[in-house]
Amino acid sequence: MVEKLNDKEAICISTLFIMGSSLIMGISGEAKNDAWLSAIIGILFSVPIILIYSRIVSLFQGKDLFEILEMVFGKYIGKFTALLYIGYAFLLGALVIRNFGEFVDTVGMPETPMFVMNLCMGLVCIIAVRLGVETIGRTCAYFIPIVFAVLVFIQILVIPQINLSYIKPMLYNGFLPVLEAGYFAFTFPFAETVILISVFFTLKTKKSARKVYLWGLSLAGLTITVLTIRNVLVLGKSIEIYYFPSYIVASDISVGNILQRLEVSVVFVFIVAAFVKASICLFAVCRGVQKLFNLSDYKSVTIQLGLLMIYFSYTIFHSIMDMRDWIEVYSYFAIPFQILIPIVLWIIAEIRKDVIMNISS
Amino acid sequence: MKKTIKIALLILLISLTSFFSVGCWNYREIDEMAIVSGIAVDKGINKKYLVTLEIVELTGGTDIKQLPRTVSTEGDSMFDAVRNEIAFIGKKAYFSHAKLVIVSQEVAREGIVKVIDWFSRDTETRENIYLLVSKNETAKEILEGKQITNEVLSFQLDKMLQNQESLEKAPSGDIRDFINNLSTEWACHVVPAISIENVNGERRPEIMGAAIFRTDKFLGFLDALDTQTMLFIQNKVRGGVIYSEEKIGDSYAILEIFKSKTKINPVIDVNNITMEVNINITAALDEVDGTANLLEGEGPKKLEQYFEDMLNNRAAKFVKEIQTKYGTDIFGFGEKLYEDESGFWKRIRNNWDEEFENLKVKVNTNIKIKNSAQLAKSLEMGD
Amino acid sequence: MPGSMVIIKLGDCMFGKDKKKKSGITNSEKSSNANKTKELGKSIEDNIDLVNSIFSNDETLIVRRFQNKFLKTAKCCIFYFEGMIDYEVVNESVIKPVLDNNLSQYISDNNLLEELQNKVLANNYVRAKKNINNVVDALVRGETVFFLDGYDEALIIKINGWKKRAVSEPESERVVRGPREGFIESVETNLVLIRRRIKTPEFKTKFREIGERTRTKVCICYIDDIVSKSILSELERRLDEINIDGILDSGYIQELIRDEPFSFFETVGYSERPDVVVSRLLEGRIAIIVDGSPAVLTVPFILLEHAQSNEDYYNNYILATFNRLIRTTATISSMTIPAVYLAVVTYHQEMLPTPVLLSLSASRQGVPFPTSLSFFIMLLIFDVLRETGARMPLSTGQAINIVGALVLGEAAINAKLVSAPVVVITALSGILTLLNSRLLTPIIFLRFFLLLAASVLGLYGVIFGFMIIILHLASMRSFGVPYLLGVTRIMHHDGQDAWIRAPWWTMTLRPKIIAARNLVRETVGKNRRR
Repeated sequence: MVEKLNDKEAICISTLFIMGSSLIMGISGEAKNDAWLSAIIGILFSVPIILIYSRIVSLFQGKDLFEILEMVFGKYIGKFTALLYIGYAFLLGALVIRNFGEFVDTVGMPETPMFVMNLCMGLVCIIAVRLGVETIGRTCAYFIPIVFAVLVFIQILVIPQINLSYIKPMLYNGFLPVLEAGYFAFTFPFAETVILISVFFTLKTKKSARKVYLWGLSLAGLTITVLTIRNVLVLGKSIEIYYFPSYIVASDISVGNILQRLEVSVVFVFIVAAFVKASICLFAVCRGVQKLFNLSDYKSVTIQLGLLMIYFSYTIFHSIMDMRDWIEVYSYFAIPFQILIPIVLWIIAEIRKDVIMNISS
Repeated sequence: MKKTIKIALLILLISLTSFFSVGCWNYREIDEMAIVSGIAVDKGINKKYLVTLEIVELTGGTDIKQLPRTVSTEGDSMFDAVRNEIAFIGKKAYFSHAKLVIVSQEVAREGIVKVIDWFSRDTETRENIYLLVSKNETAKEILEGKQITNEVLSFQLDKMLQNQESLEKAPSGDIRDFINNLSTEWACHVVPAISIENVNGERRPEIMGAAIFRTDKFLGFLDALDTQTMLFIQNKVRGGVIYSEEKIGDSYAILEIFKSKTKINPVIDVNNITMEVNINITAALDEVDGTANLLEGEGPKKLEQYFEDMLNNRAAKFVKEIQTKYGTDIFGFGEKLYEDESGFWKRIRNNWDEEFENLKVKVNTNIKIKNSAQLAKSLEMGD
Repeated sequence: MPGSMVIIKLGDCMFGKDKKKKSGITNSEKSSNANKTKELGKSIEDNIDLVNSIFSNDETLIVRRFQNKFLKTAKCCIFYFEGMIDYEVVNESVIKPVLDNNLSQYISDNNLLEELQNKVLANNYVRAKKNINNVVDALVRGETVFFLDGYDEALIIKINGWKKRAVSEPESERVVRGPREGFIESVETNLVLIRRRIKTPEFKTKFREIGERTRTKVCICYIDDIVSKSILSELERRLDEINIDGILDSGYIQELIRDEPFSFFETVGYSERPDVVVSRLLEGRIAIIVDGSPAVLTVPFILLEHAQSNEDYYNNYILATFNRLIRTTATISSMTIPAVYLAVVTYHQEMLPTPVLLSLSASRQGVPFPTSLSFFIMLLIFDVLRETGARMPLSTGQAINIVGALVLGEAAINAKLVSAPVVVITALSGILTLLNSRLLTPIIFLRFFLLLAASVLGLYGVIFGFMIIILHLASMRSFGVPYLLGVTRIMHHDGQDAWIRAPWWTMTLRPKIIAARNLVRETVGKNRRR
């Protein structure tokens, strides 16, 4: 059975994928109370690169990232870059799982070993990937109204805690830190959508890719920006000192004496978003391994790779402090995957598209 | 089929094993926890801190009774002291529902960062619990004092603090606010003060006035009136009353505040800063303890004028006092400058304390008396 | 009974029409291969012996010999099984005409049997069969077999006349407003109930027999210009693949043709009400009527049909939407409430408002068992009570209820075996289950599953469990149609009749169920707009 994603499901996937762990980690805390500006800058940065991604998807409709790499770069370089992308997706998936594990370990259940949480999350991802992209898409379509309902609900309830003066002064430390934080926001989470190229071969039409990418970016970008503004308005410039600002904001809610301590709703949203991101990464890894070794079905390697990813997520950092430092390293680490290779790929593809198409068909 | 059964059995086995082996990580029954309602922190005799916990004990059955009891333990850090408590009550203390922390003056003077750090770092404790400073010698005696009703004292105090808005005799604010202010250049904070007093042979806690902190170190107390003035300047008044200091005509008048809005407007003239504080109050004449007719003719105008002058003088005097006595910016002028005049603020922020001491503050109060409660006139007494 | 005559007639016509269409070997023909060697002879005595020998030791097989008054050579006999025919009709339409008519006037024609069939036997279904297997099949189906001396053919006359239940309102699907008719155990009657509501030649029926021994009549019916051909052929394929000894209820078929055989959720729907089945037929679904079962199956079946009730369509749409939301919320809650409660009180006490925490804590003082264990036990006890209530005679059932309520509720709390909130939550969850009894299986098991997850990982466990359930549901299909169809699309016409019941004037399109992905796109085309 050939899996097909309709546009709505694909938009849901890309929205939740972008929201992923940034929902709870918050983005551009480095910019303090200008974090929301950085978020907007990050979104603006990512528009061109996302157009490139969508162009790649629609140029090679029905082909996934790894096939495209091989078609454009030839067998050896193609395989090598495919290997790099497998590694990248693997790392990204492990990071998301790890973020989740750290989150639960820090705010929820300090006595429960983190590995258990990682394992649970990973197992759900494995199940999802085995059930296929279409199932993930439908699940996303099912969860996305709940996710937005929860976010809006919290947004409304948090209004009494808002302090509008926290947003001032704008650009206190100058524009450079904001720009830098904007670049961080670009690498995490917006440009991570490069992984989605390995999923969107299931799109139905050529036009879908651009629509899906832009809708996903704008929905998720809007959400993240609104959340960041909210976090700034509630927490002020101390947004920087918290690992999980959104969680702290939700824990502040108190309406009457009954409706309070709604942290768990945030947890729900986070689990859903992180689950989608991690399973898409796992899917990309499996798909890549399948193409690399010419396997007949990616499902045969899902469990093994999934378990490896869980274990990797457990050993990747020493502690939550390392995780925080990593974000800075990551923003440079990600350059080849998010910017260099896609742009080279795109340019070659545009120049030689007739040749490439002839060879492949 | 055989394979399916095998897989099903395997899953069952794994889940059962995990169920029985992990059932105790974070799982805890609510009756096995000692629910802490309030915490008092004092200087210890042998160790650094003496922590007193007020614990709610419950009797089950159809008739639920809450029996508060207090437990004191010593430790070199908050965490140390709190963990030592297990030896006394046998149950693990549970802090998520704690409502307030009372700190003794002695501890507060040495700096309370170590106390509140634990609250914001630990997962179980919450940051939105109230922080109070005891006016009495120790914080412990407040929790141990006799409660007003049969209820748990901390819960009672919690309600009092929540209703503080209609009283405005003490500031409100939780540990989160405190921490947020710590990282700023002005870094001062006011927290409510609490004392326990003998009234008619009954020991009764009273939340009145405020304690001033510079960074995390306690400097001194403000009385209730000063606290109100401070709150007016900080734009934190939501209700409460204003008493006239002297007789107007032949009686004292009391205003009930409905709305109060304060705008601080920094006026910068090269290097001189003047803070213009505009207080707009909408109030009602609530109580007149005499027969003077304050509402006839020019009465309301005069009344407004009187109160405006009174508040202006009071505020000016109070600001001066703070500037000279404590030299700390409890009003948030620095914050205002940071927000509105960030370029200027950058230049002066390193010697803000000096700047503050020389700051010119112009208070301009505007009171509007919208009605006189339910009576059109003062009560008339037959001669 | 004129009514029953009509019923039989209609059924027969359709049966006959279908026989001609059908190709290939049916189950019944395969099964009687053993008798193939024996052929019908010309002598009536040989034939009687032959039939008797096939049905030896069966005393309910009756043979009645008779002769025409006028033509002595016209010796004939009928075979039938006792109680399975309508005696009066047999007497009037078979025995009497053959006895009384002057058959000698037909003797000139060379085929007396054909003359009898055409001119004498006053019955609407008479077929001549040469094969002994057909004779045997007809007999076991309750038809009457007519032999005439000198002919190696038998006439099969259909005069079934066993007792049927009257058409009445089904116990399991009562309504306040709406038709009171319900299906009964006879496939013919059920078809009449449906056909009376659909007056179009596009309404088609296809018959087949399933079950090696029971040879149960199974009827597939659909509306030809709405139905999706791919779903239809898939259904027929699955029905053809069934290889089973006997079908006693449509439940057998339901289980044998379903997708996702290991899922708790049903992918084949059923109803005992003709109006419900007809409304589903009008949406392009296919109904499967099984003889001997008042429950008519419909495919494809999606999750949200659980939330639909026929009364939704007869009542005001606002009330219907409200009721539907209640039903869905209740179902979700009955599954999750115990788990969420358990997670909150044992893992996330900080979520409770302080007064609630205090009273819950007080209610647990002195209770020895952990909350998780007491939940498992109480829920099991609830299921035991439910099952006893269903199995017991009515009077005893009430006693059980009292024992259950008093002993297990009140006394257990007083004896401090369980805490009061646990009993309250169990009872609440149990009552909510009954609101949607069709979902009993998934609710019971998923409740335990979520409870287990909650006792290990708290609310995180509940969320993970919930996600696994959703993933499973999202991966499911019923005859190629996504099981969660309509769940996510409130504005779309698939969702107009899902969470809400939109007003009739807005429901201009059928659910796109037929045009689902991965199927040959056999859209309803010109009939899409009503």
